[in-house]
Amino acid sequence: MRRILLFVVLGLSIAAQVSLLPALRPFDVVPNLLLVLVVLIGLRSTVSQALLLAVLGGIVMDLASGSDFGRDMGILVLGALSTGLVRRSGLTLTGPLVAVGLVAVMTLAATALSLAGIFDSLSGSLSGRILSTLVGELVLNLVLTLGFRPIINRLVPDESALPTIG
Amino acid sequence: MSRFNLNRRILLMVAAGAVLILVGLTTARGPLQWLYNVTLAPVSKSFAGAGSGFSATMADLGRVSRLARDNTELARENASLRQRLAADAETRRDNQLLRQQLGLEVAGAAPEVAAEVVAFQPDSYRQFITINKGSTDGLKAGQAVLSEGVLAGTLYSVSAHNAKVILIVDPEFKLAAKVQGDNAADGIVQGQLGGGLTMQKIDQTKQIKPGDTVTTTGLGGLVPAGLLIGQIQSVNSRSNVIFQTAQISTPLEANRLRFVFVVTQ
Repeated sequence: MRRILLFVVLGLSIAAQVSLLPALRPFDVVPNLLLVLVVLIGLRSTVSQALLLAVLGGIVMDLASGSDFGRDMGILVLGALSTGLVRRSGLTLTGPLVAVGLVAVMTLAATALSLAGIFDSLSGSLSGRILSTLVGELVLNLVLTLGFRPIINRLVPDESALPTIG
Repeated sequence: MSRFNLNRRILLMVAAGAVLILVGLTTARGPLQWLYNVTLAPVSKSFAGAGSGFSATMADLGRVSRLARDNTELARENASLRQRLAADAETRRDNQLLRQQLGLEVAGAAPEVAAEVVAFQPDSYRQFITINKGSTDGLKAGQAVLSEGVLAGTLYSVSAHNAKVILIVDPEFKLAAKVQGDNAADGIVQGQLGGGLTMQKIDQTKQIKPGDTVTTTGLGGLVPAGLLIGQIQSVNSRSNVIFQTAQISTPLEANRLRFVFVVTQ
């Protein structure tokens, strides 16, 4: 039952990432819910499960996106693999701090990649606009991390104690 | 499960991702797009509708205090537009008569294809939408896309049953445009990060002012002339630079688009 619920939640989240969230655009930014879920699942369950979501969710984002094909999947896969590195490092994964930190770092990486793609079209006077968008996205992603963490903890069995990267 | 098996699963997953990216980068994106259409598109379409409706309601709530003033201004603008419409209809009739007498082709309304928005750009920096019509409906990359009579963007890429639209407010959108009036000024309309729109490369000798209408020129590409882009909001003109620039306000609200029309002429 928990597995079915998890699939429904993840399926709806993938659909929401390319429709509901960009349509709502809270504070004029689009939060990256899939990145949040990939990190949370990677820390709670296995890296391979996080990778599965990263590949499936990433391909849907890339199909909806007009940016370079593969960029979104690349970010999500990187997010999933980084959870493996964190687990290998032996950090305590019980609190929300690791998840929040990882989401913040991956949001910065995604922003850098997005801006690199349109670097020629940007003018120096837009730095304030870029900063406000980045801060808005960071805050929303972190709020989503804290909001979705209890849901994922309830739906996904805890395998974080496993010593291997998987 | 052994460590070897787990690492192999991870490698397999990364390899699958790489294969999907390679497939997407080639022209074989059709099957992936088809899979998306039959699985997620119906859900995302409903979500997009719900999201657009919600953000529209929230925006309307914010406008309540201005409703009376807006209503008076709109009534005044409506009366002025009716007058101009009547004069334009007369001019159009005269134009058609003269063209017939000279044996020239009489221009008709450009054919349009209606399409529904099935997905939005999933990040904060770019502005694309995906629509549910493609090359089988006669769409080609570069054609103009309208929403409520205003230029919303152009077709960026077209597959058999879907097309991606780059919106005019995307930072990489550029299009030749002109300011209407007796002293018509040409320039380039360009999108800005955060949804703004500017008109650049306007000759310093041209007199333009806030409120002037900006339309397409029809030069280069498949976008016909005379499509409404917006109105000049402010002008930035300095004597020490060759060109003047202007901020353009467009009635387009990118995250509320649900239906668009592609001009297929």
